[in-house]
Amino acid sequence: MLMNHTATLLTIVLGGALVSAAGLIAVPEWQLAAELEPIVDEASQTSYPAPPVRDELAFGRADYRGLGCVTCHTQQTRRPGFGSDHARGWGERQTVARDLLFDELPVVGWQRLGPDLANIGARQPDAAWHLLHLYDPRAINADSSMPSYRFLFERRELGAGEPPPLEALILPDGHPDASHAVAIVPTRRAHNLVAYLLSLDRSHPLAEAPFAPAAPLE
Amino acid sequence: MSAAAPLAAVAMPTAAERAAIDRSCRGPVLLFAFSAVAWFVVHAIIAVLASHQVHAPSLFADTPWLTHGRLSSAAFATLMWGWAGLGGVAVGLWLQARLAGAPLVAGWLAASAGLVWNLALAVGLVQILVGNGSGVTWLEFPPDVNLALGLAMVAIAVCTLATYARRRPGHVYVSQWYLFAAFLWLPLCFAVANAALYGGAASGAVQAAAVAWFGHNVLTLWVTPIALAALYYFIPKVSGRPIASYPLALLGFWTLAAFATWGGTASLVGGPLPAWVPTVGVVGSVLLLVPVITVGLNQHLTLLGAFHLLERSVVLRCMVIGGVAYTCYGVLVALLALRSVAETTQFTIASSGVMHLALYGCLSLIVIGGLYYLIPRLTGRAWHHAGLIRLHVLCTAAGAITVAGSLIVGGWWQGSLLADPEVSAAAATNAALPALWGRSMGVLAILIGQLAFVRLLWRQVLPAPQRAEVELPAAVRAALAD
Repeated sequence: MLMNHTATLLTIVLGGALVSAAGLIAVPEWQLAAELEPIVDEASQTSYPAPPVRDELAFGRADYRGLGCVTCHTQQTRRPGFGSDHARGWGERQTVARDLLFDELPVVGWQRLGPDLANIGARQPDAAWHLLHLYDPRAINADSSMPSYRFLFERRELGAGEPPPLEALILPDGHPDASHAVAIVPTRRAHNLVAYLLSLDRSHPLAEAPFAPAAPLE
Repeated sequence: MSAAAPLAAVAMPTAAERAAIDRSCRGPVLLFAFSAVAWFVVHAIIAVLASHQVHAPSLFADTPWLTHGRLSSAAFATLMWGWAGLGGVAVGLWLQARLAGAPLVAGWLAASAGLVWNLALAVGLVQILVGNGSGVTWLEFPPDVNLALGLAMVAIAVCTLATYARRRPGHVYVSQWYLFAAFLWLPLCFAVANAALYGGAASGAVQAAAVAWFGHNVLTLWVTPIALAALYYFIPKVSGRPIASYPLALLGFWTLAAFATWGGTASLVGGPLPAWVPTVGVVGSVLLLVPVITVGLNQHLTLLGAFHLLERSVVLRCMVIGGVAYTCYGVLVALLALRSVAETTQFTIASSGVMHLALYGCLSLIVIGGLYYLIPRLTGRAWHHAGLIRLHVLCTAAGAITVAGSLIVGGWWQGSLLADPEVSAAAATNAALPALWGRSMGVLAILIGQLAFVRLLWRQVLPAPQRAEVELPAAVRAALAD
């Protein structure tokens, strides 16, 4: 009886899992490690992608993970011709391995209840827009089902005639929280998260993923 | 290769020996079973809240630990590692001892692993809610929690393999292959994924491949095999019919191990890895059809002409619903891996629907059926209320079908709308809101069902009240009879 031999069973069980792990993880790792390095621009002394530094972006990225943004947002643009990502203006080209060279713990995502964010920094470079959007997404898009992140903001009571601080949100007229007595002030965390979102820009051209012909931005 | 011939050569355990085997696993199995159900309730409460938030996006906007992303991560983690992990181990431990015809080896080690596992879950849940989750699906816990979980998995593997090694000489049952495999695959896959994420074995885009590999294999090599081990035991056991085809079972098992393990990276089609990586994933996913069809066919042929038994046995009903869910799961994995289908369904809520089909539909029903069979044998008490059993199974099955069905249909609809660049992402999500509402209702049904189960389990451990036990209907007594 073939399956009465523990050695046979052990071989097929361990072999099946380990060979597929080798094939789908170790081999790509070996292939990409040999092929990929950042593209350095000698003139400006910058590289794409930029090596990570322990700064506000890192804190913002950690919060992006910790808040579970991955639940509803991807950071991988599909190639032009496969789905509508390109036509929506979500990216000029497909996301490739080189884009993720320094991305530890992937946030590429797997589900979209909101738009792809691979290039959100290029698509929406206005920090004030992002802060207001985090505070109340429906103040910007009435159809949005994104959660409000009010806990990333501080409500500061204002004295009579006291002007709001410079960094306070400017809420649209008629917004329920708009008041002369209270200022909504972004916390450090909100600023870090927005700095991270603004850094998401993969519009650097790469040989392995040429830009598709221009498409109108959404 | 007939199934009947080798059986004759095996010395079957006597009733007294069977009772001794049951005693040997009583503590660990009940620990795993009861805590699994408790975590299923925790999961369902969290999942109902998370699902409802899509309709009320400002809900808990001032409470960081209840924000939607964290609740969703917590819902996934408690479903996989709470219910599917502990529940699978509960049924698997008992089956391993029962099929080996030998007492569970080192039950104290399994029980300790159960305590560590539960502690790790509690710490992990808090860590996710305070913002230390990884955001990686099925691996949401921080790495130190994963280490504790992994050690518990290894301890359980040691117990079950040692029990397997003490089996009575002779025939090895189909269920035993799956038990042997699933208890090895779980720690193995978990270790590989953690090594890729935290151990430097993979970097950048390859970590995404490792996550996809794990996401597929935790369902294909743990969740469904542990369920299939129970399926291959309980369907012949309760129906009194031998498994229809041994060669078919052999084919299904080998193709699962050899080919279906390659299916994970299909979800990366069009993604950031070299094109051959998702292509191999598509092939692996399509080959999952072979084990899925052979299992479906084998169980169908085993029960052919005996479907009337379904009316009598709640265990059999659970097994058949779970088995059908497994077939649907496999067919959908293969279908959604095809590039032409993935162009519409990739990144939609449909993928979540397929995952929930495996977890709610296949594993949950089969583990619940197994628990209905084995718990009275460990506690020595009959189930006290047939109506609650019916409510539990009905709610779980209806909830599973509603969650998976609405997410898959809603995902297709969402994807079809997203294909048109004129439709905004928010509008496509809003068009899928009825499906997400269906998900909320389905999870609510699952929660109600599990609360009924908690009520039933309560009476399994607490002393019965003074009044006489409710007399069980003949049908239920028959279903519970050995």
